[in-house]
Amino acid sequence: MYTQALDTAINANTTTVTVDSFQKTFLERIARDEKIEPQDAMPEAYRKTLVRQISQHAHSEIVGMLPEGGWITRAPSLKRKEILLAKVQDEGGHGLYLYSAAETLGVTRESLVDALHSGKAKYSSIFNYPTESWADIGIIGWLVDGAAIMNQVPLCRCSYGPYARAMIRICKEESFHQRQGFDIVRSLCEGTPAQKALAQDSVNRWWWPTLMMFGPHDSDSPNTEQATDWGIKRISNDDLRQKFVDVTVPQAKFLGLTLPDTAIAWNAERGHYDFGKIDWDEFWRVVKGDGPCNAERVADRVTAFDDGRWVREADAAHAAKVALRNAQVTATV
Amino acid sequence: MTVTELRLNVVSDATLLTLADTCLLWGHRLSEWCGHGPALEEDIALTNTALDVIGQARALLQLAAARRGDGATEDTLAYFREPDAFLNVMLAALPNGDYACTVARSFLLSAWFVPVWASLAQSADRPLAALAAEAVKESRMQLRHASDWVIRFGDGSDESRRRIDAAFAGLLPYCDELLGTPVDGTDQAARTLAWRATVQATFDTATLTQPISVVYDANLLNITASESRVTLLAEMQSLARQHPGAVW
Repeated sequence: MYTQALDTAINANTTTVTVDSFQKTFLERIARDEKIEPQDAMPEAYRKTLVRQISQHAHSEIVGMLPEGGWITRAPSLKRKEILLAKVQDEGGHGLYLYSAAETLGVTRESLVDALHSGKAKYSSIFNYPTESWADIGIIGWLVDGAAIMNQVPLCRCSYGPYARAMIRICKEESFHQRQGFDIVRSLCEGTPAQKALAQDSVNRWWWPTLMMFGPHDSDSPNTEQATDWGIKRISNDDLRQKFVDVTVPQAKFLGLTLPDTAIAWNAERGHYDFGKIDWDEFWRVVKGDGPCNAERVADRVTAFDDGRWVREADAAHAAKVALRNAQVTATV
Repeated sequence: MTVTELRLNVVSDATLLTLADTCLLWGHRLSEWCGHGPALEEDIALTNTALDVIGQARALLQLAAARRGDGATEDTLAYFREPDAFLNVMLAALPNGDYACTVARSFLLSAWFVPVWASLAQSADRPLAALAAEAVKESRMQLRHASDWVIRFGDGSDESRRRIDAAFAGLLPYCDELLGTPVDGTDQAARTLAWRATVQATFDTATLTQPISVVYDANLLNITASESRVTLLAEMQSLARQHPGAVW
């Protein structure tokens, strides 16, 4: 899963680009679509923006393992169990690539994880909603991963090399995740009336939170222009959201599912589907920590981390013993 | 084995289910760790083992279902048999406990599965032999991974030493049943020797001193393992049983 455009962490002072020769040269490199690599000089605000975005993305992958992971043990067929297990494992792998990409910017994984556990760092708001039924596993794949792909494909062209390269692999896997989600939903829609009802109930609950994944309206995203100049953001929040709606409405129709928005209608003049107003109060409530599952998700992560501390310490203690023995052997030779 | 099984030169339904159920329940327990591992790398590695053994369970159940020929499928065998019809070894169903217990169980089981699969890879039962030839590679990898952690824990910190000692003290009593479990077409005595050699060698490297053979109360173990299996299956089978006949 994915990163969310929250535009909250970098204040206006740090993002203001002073047009000196270094900044000018840097922007020219980006304009030429050159990749910025870890050893290259870069504006501090660029580095901080990337650390924030990549780590937020990594946290989203790791926290995102939880809502789906809870259904692995209850998957209704062995095939679905195996696929879901592999999918959640992929999310862990994405987290690993992304923490590694962030580390190339001079931060440690430990410091990023600390920020997640203390509540300082954000992750995608979507994972603060509960997975109440098996249909949610399908809907998350179809809608949530579908939305993630919309957001992530442009990141494959991000100006920062390690992030862009990580995103290429992540997007390939997310594409599979989206298809498996659609396949689950299609099976439910073609199944018994009870299965179809599960799918409809799930889409009713997930539709609006999915649209919120694209972040605030462009008019409320003050840092979009800067991120665009830096080659980090390629397409605006509203444009991505519109693209997602345009792709998804026909898919819902194919499945025989109703999207919970009576304002959805084709607008021939715009060449897009119109849709209703998003409840931004809910969005900001969830982002700020008051969603249905915020406390539970962070507590789960903290517990897993704390419970694993002795394992990591044992690993380090053993490595130290081995290193000492090797040094003693070398000294006696 | 039935007369038909002997004539067709295939292993018994009971052997297929023993291996399949052991893999399935063990894989279920491992999958409970997904998203909660002690480190991201370990989370991913443990899930790999879960995927391997659930994949082995599926292949075995598909073979058993096809040979039954009564409309059975891998899913009817996994989701619609009652707990007492499962033929898993007791170790597989036990709750995970802490990470030392999880590692110790994986170590003891994979040390058993390596010689099982290696023997079955030579079986005259060709479909099973093909499956075993792949599975033995996976089991060797699982054994290496689990052994590495047993050594780290035994020869790591004081706390890890205490935890791995406690884990083996709790799990070794179940190994008599493991070693006594028949697998058609394999040499049980040779397997037991191989298992003991593997376990002892790792214990030595890990500086663990407890004896492999321990005194235990078989009835108590049976009750614990049976209860664990009932609880596990109640969760695993819950959704499928709410929608009998549904296609997912």
